[in-house]
Amino acid sequence: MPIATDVLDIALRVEGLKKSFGANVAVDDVWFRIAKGETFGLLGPNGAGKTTTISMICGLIAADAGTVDVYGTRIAAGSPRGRRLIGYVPQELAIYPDLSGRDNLRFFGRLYGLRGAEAERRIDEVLDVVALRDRAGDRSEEYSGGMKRRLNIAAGMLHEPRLLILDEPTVGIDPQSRNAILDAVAALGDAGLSVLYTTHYMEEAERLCDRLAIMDGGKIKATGTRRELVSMVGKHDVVNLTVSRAARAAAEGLRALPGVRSATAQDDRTVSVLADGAAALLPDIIGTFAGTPIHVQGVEVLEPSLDAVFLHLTGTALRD
Amino acid sequence: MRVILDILWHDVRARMRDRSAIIVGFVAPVALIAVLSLIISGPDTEKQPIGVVAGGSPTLQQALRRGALDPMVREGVITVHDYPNAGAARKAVIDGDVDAAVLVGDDGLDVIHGDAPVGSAMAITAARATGDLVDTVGRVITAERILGASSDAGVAAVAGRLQRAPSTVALGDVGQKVAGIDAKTQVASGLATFFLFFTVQFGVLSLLYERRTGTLARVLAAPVAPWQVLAAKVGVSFVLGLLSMTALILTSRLVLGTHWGNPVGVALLVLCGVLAATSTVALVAGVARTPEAAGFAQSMVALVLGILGGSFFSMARAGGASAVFTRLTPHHWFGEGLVRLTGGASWTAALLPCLVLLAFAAVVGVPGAFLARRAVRP
Repeated sequence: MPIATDVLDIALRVEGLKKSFGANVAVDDVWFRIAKGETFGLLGPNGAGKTTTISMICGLIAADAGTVDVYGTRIAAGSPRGRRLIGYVPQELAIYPDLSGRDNLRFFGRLYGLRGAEAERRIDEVLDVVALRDRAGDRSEEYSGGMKRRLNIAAGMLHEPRLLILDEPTVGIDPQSRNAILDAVAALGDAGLSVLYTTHYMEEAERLCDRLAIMDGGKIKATGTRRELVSMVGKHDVVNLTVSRAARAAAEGLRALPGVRSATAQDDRTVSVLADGAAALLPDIIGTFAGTPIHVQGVEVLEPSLDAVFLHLTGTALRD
Repeated sequence: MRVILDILWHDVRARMRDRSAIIVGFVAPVALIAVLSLIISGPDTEKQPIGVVAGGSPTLQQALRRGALDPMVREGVITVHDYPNAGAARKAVIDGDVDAAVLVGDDGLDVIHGDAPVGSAMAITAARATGDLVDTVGRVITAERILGASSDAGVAAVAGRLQRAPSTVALGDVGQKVAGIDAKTQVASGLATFFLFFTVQFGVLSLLYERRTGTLARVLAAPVAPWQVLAAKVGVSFVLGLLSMTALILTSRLVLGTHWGNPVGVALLVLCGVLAATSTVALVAGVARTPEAAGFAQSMVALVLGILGGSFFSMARAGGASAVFTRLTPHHWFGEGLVRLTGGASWTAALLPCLVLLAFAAVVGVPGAFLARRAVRP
């Protein structure tokens, strides 16, 4: 999807966003745009600065520098201006456990001015979207983890926002519930809603997002469609080696091999190698350890993917 | 404004639903008030021994006995013991033969009693003695005003009117004002104000809990200004405090027969007292970093203010620094307001205590509101 240039076609414009907490720079000069109707993923490990970025976009915390505009409306911390345009689904389960699902939605709806018949109509609609209508009258503390997550999402889209922001909405839930949530988000994207989706799950980003930004250490490392990002890596493959010991030393040895772009120890026994033509290079890679106390116990060759992109850009693998 | 009311109503309902505010703000204090009232007025309670020193103005002697003491003797509330002089009466008080003694002078009355004991059972006895004596002496002073300094005539007629007399008197022994409210009311008001400082925490301190659970972030992401959220939470504290005090006063009045005085004056006292308590909890919320720390700090504040303020026993009578510290507490001024309202006094009698309570609320509440704004963040 092409990057929109007309202001009316830009759902979110983030320019030069910075935020520090003491000496810790959480977000460092972040720029990106989301087009109207686009699902945009912010992909990065825990601590990358995704939640801080979202908090500034939603006006929850003040930026040290930079601006946020949602459909041309400037968002500022402490000001209600423009908030109605945004639907925010926080990472935490921000619902009241002693209230039923429906009463939770009624309360959050009132904060956006939704009352009476209009509120009930919208509540029914979002309950249908997240498949919770039959349990709407139950106290939310009786819900499963997945149901609570879905209610969390329903509360964010109740007031028909034009930009839905979801901060790691599938953390800590079972695969079935995760699929249900991903289906719901995909449906919202298909319906034309602009979505900002943060995750550290590669497969979610690949499945849902039209475009992605890869974030690490508070910075945006790259932005583009999946195809654009993968093309940055070229024909490189990722080879994950499981070794008997000393992964760091193993990585050191592998870096000297011709064709190896990078080799990084992910933990004590795993080495990720970015290589040109991994299949052809595999005998050399394994042969590196001949005559050493390090034994190769497993080999996994990955086709070019966002994993490879992340490894290429940050030097580390993106892990759950 | 509407969103403030929405949040306020949501929170008040939540506290009613989980019964936390009902238990702390109503059930627990009512139970304690009832138990202590039973102890005070139970069938096994002995009559109050009170001494009277001979001499002084014959008019006052007659008024004291016929207008105040005799009816109480007939009701079985007190027994009267005569002493020839102040020294003998004082010794009787110190020895515990009588709870207090009335010294009749030429133009007024003094009450002799020992130093205030510390401890709940003794405090109750002291409270009762004080209340009875003040009633007694107050009536006599009124009699003195009505009769004039020199006339002996009309004592019998005046005695019948003494029941409606105001009852506050300066005590010669300690130079303090002593409550003219009865012991039950004193217990009820002390416990009501004590629990008030626990009840109000359910409003403002929920900011810290909601910050932890993430619901505050969601509320702040809505078109709601942070000050509106803070105003709503402060409002919740205020409403819960108001509900608690009103329920306690009405219940103790209807069930236990307590006497609170002029309703308008009491209402003003309650409003100002709740405001003072709400200001305190706002300050605690602004200073504390976690909900647990805030809850602990507020409990400590409530306990210390309650003890200093005389919720359980009068610190004023302990003298020294305690008498000074007690005047720094809202509890003391709430009680002082009730004292001033007894005996049919107008609501204006509560104005000074109300002003002091408002001053307390301002001194604590302004920095409290400023600091509590920090708690309104995701």
